[in-house]
Amino acid sequence: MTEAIDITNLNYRRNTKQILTNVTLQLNPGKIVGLLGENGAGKTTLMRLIAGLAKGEKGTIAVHGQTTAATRRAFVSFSEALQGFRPGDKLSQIRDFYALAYPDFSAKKYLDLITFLQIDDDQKLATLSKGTREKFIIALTLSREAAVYLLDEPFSGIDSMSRKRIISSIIRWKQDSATMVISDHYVSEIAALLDEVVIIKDHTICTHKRSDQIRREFGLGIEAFYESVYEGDISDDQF
Amino acid sequence: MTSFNHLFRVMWRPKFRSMNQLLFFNLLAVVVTMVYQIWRRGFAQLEMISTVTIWGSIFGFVAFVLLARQNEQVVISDTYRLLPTSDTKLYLANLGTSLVALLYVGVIQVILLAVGTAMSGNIIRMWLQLNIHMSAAAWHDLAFYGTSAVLWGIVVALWAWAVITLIHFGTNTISAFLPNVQQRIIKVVLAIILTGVLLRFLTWFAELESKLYAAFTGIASVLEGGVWFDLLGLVVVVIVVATANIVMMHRWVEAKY
Repeated sequence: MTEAIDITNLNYRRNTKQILTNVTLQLNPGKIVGLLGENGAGKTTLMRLIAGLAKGEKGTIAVHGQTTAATRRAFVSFSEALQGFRPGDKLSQIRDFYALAYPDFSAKKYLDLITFLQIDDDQKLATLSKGTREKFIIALTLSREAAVYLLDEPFSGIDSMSRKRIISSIIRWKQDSATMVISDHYVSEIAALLDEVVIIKDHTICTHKRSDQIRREFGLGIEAFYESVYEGDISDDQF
Repeated sequence: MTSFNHLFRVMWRPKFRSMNQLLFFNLLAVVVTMVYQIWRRGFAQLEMISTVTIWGSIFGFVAFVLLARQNEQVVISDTYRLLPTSDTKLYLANLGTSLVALLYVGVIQVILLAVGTAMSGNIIRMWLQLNIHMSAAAWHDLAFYGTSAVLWGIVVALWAWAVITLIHFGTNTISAFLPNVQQRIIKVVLAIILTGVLLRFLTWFAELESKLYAAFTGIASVLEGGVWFDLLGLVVVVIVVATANIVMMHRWVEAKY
């Protein structure tokens, strides 16, 4: 079976600073994976490398067997910050952009999602609150019938009601065969969703485990496990 | 994968919208000037050709600058860099849509000029009446200079946009290998150095091209053939610079976030 994501010996350096070192990671299709790590650990960089946005890496990154950035992008739906649009653009214009640019964009899924997330796409981008903007980004990202979804800190700075709605939409609209990687440092928000956990520490992946394995082997919840790894209570030998 | 056709359309829409906004202000400026002229001198003395030409030149230049800015924003924006397409297609679609948008502004200026002439273009009408019986050779010259002016305009616009991107990408590429301190200052210094190097290279290339033409034909490049040879030289420069941009985009230049 082809892995959804297969990364081998990935090294990434920028501005003379090592950001990722010897990253090797395989993710199977159909899983929801938490990419955890403190601020600046390299979570966003790893996602941007998978999506082909960061350049100059050494090593190989394959998404469903595709190794070039352009072909990988066809399989990946990344939660981008909509920086390419003008503040005066209406959400419906952004929807039209996505519908035209991405062959796997589903107009029905989009409509269901914005209805569920209570978004009026007649509004202008500049008028959205942070929470609504984040919900709209999630709606666009999930509206694609992609094989891999990369959600980069989807809950940062938004209220609990919006968070709950976003989590519900992830559960409801993710296809069974699709892999979803969610990066965050607020673990409690997403712990219940996760099938697997990948922790980035000291510029590399320090552990990759299934959620049930963490509970069974360490007797800990995901949040406690993550904190233990970062505080050094669990040593590398125990992995 | 996103087809070139769809890529072109998604890139064209925002540029078309901003050009229309600009043309609205262009039209407004022409109308306000016309009303002022009528108020000052009366309708009989109204001369629209210079008004349309001056405002057209100003807004044409603004359009060129706006499109250059949009070009640079597109190539470092996540929104566009995430599209499932090759860097070559993305770059060419970006440049192509900007060119079409600039031509669109040009066509609107020609229409405005025609309307202005029809309304009160005494000078142009007199010139046309005097020259309507021009010889075949004179018409040929007119067609030649008209065509070469349009072609030169297109190639110079492409050259300028490609060179701006070259400086932008060159600065980004080099600064990515330097320490992450005082990046803004480093980028400004790099941009100045790169601009200097580029100007020297282009001067050298222009001299080389003149020498080559003289060597092949034995005449200076001021005649008809020379105009086309110079144009061809500039097209070669555009192709080389665009290729360098695509290579940098593919290997080193990241989207900004």
